[in-house]
Amino acid sequence: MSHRLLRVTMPAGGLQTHKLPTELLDMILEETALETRKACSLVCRAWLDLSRRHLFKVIVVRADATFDAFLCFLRTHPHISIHIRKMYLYGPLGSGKPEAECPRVDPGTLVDIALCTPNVSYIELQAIQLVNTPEESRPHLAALRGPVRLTTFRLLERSHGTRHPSTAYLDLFRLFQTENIRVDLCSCLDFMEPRPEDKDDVRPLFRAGLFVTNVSA
Amino acid sequence: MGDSNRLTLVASDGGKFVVDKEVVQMSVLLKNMIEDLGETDESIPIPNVTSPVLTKVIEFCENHRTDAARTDGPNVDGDDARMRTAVVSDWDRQFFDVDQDLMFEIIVAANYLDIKSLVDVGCKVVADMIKGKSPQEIRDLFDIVNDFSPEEEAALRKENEWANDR
Repeated sequence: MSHRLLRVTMPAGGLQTHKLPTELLDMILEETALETRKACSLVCRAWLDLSRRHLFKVIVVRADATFDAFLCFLRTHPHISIHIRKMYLYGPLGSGKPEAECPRVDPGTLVDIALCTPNVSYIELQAIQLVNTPEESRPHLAALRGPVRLTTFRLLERSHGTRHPSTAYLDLFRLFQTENIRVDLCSCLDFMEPRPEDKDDVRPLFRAGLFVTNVSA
Repeated sequence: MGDSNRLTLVASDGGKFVVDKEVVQMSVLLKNMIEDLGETDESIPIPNVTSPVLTKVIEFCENHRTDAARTDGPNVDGDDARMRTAVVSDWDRQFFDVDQDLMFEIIVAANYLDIKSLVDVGCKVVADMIKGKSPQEIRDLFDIVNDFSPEEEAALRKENEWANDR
């Protein structure tokens, strides 16, 4: 029998026994849960970034008053922010909290949060109090090149309902462009009234039925 | 050899294994190689995969030969779908009930040979193994030296506090 030697290319560094190649560690981490991912991130430098890619892929933030501390964290930790793909911004645990106890967030802050997380595609808010964007933030928002693009945006209502200002709703629709959107419209009978100054750019949205067709109960 | 349905694999230490072609083809790497070669009697050397490891890899492929077709299926949902396809059976768990070094060598070899089902099952088993373990316990398991200073580790722990479940 002829015995021509067939060349098989080996992975760089050969087959390691004690240290798993990065791509295998990546697949193993995919199968782990939060606490194990945290532990893996502290194993050694070589494991840190890969573990955090999984650890921070989905982030859940529960705030008491505002999401300013979270925004500050994102701004000061871009090496972590870059891993975030799905974001849940929630009020404190337990439904039925009075509105006054819900964390407040304005659309401008949401935009800032989204801009700090370049790979985020899903944002969900629940048990929060939407408030109007402060006037001082408006020039900054007006300077944006266009809406923030997401795959999904969800503003979910709490069990007993929260009244959000209609202007803040409108800002959300103007500042975010999403493939899927769910916004619970509770107690907003004045919602279909655009502000006079929004007439030109908001009216086409009404004509297109954006609020009706893209909002599910 | 004469039997066109069987092939000889040669481990790095010279050990020879005569295996059904159908079983060998669970390795995408070897399948492509066989297709490139066409009909041949030549044996195929597998460098850096030792006989004990190759024995186990072949054992797995022999046992899973009937579900080989699944490995060719489309990966419809990207990377996330990859692991969902792997179901760890009692047989698989027993299969991986071996010396830890051998276990890692099997997974690394499976990855090199591109045997998806074995890689998937192996990764799930390792994930179960490190579940609930501390960083130091994981270091011990993988023979890794801690290269963080206590201050660095404390700072990383603080940052990790932002990661939470729902």
